[in-house]
Amino acid sequence: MRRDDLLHQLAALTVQLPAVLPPASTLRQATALCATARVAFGAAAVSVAALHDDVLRYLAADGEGATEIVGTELPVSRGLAGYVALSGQSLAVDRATDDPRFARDVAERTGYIPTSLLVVPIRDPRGEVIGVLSVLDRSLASADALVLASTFADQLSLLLPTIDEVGRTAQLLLDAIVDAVNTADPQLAPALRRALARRPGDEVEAELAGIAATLNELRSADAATRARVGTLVAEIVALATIRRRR
Amino acid sequence: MTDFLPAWSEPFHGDQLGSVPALDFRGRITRKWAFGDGSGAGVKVAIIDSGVEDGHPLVGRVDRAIVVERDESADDGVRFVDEPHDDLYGHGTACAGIIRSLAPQVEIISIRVLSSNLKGSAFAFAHGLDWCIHNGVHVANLSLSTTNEDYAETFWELLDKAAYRRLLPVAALNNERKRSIPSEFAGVISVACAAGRDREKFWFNPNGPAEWGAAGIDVDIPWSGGGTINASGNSFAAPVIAGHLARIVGAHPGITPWQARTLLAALAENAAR
Repeated sequence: MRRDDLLHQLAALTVQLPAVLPPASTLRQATALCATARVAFGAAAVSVAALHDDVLRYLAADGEGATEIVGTELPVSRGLAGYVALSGQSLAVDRATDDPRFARDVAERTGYIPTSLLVVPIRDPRGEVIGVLSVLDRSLASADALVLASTFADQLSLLLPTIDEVGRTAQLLLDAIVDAVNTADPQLAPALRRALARRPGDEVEAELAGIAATLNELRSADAATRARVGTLVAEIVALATIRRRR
Repeated sequence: MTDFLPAWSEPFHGDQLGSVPALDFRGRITRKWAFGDGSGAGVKVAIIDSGVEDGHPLVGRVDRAIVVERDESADDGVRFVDEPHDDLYGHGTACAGIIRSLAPQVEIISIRVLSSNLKGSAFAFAHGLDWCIHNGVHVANLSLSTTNEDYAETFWELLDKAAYRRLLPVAALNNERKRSIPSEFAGVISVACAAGRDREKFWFNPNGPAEWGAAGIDVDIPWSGGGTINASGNSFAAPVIAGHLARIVGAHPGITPWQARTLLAALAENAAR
């Protein structure tokens, strides 16, 4: 394939990519949720960080230091947010600045040092922690602060996987493009396959787990359906084998 | 006469049963009788958490420190590193300090099950509790829980073992209404926050799943770095109950979990008087 053809393909992809993205930007939705939470708590700032490979990445925020915090990455081995991510236990701390460890990690980078912090985990449907929601200096006293924060965390739990998946897909495409451009005969499809193969093993396992779950569901189907699905799978495998031989 | 002996009946035949500590109730159960000198001397208390800062002014000496780590090369996939360690966050130090404030002479054992690696934290947690069961720990403070359903059966088994080894597992319920394993199980002494900051007071809720209530809202607690912070959470109520249980075990060595609960219930603020 010529370089021009490759660029043509890339242009086509650029047009198609928004179709797989949600109608409104999930990041903007996450930011809007932070803003809503900030008003609900009367807080100085609210931020959301996604957990990936033992690192917290701040995706969205509203209020003091919001611009500075977004994009920041922190290992879970440090800080209050790290503790919440690691233990799954939410925590409310007042006079956080009594311990300089709180401020050093995040606050100094954002230029805003909070006095109080409320951090709750964001969980996927299986209960695994996938991020944390932080509320800085809430002014509206409420006995239900943790419950309220947890409700916002539940909403964010619907958004985080999408943000994550879109990000991973974009990363994959970028990897494939770089790979293809760097080869003598640029071909996007094989480059994409190579990029896929380089993805961490646990994600591939997650896909296999998905297939296993579907097959498990089929166990409760009637015999005729199971037989038909069995034939279909056999035909797909046969087709894939023939294609690979070519 | 038959020589038929159903399974599990053996302890009640012959003389192997031995004697058990009698609770010598003489009228009302008083704090003085239940707590003795209140020092918790001779009681081993484990803090299963993020580590405990040795020498913190409000914690004092950490008598033993174990890090529980995943180790694929080991037979059961786990390794216990028995050497001094830091508190990664401050959370375990907070729990240890609260217990120390109530029972100043307990032996503190830090079981660190949290690490910088998120995967396997429930695994390390379960093995940390298992270590306590096999190492003569009297009271274990679990200010953490897992939502991982896969571990429910593991914890049920561990709690059954703990009960028969006379280990008192004290667990904080999750701060949100989420699954809280093993805190919500009847086998643990489960704790949530009651009103006020007085650690001498606690409440009994026989309806569960939060069986006990103690101070944990806006409380001053030790944190790593030698200082204190003001924080809220069921995590800080659990060690209050653990501290009182350490006093009870110190005054009544060999007490069974059921006897200890009876004493605690008799001393609760809401006990009918």
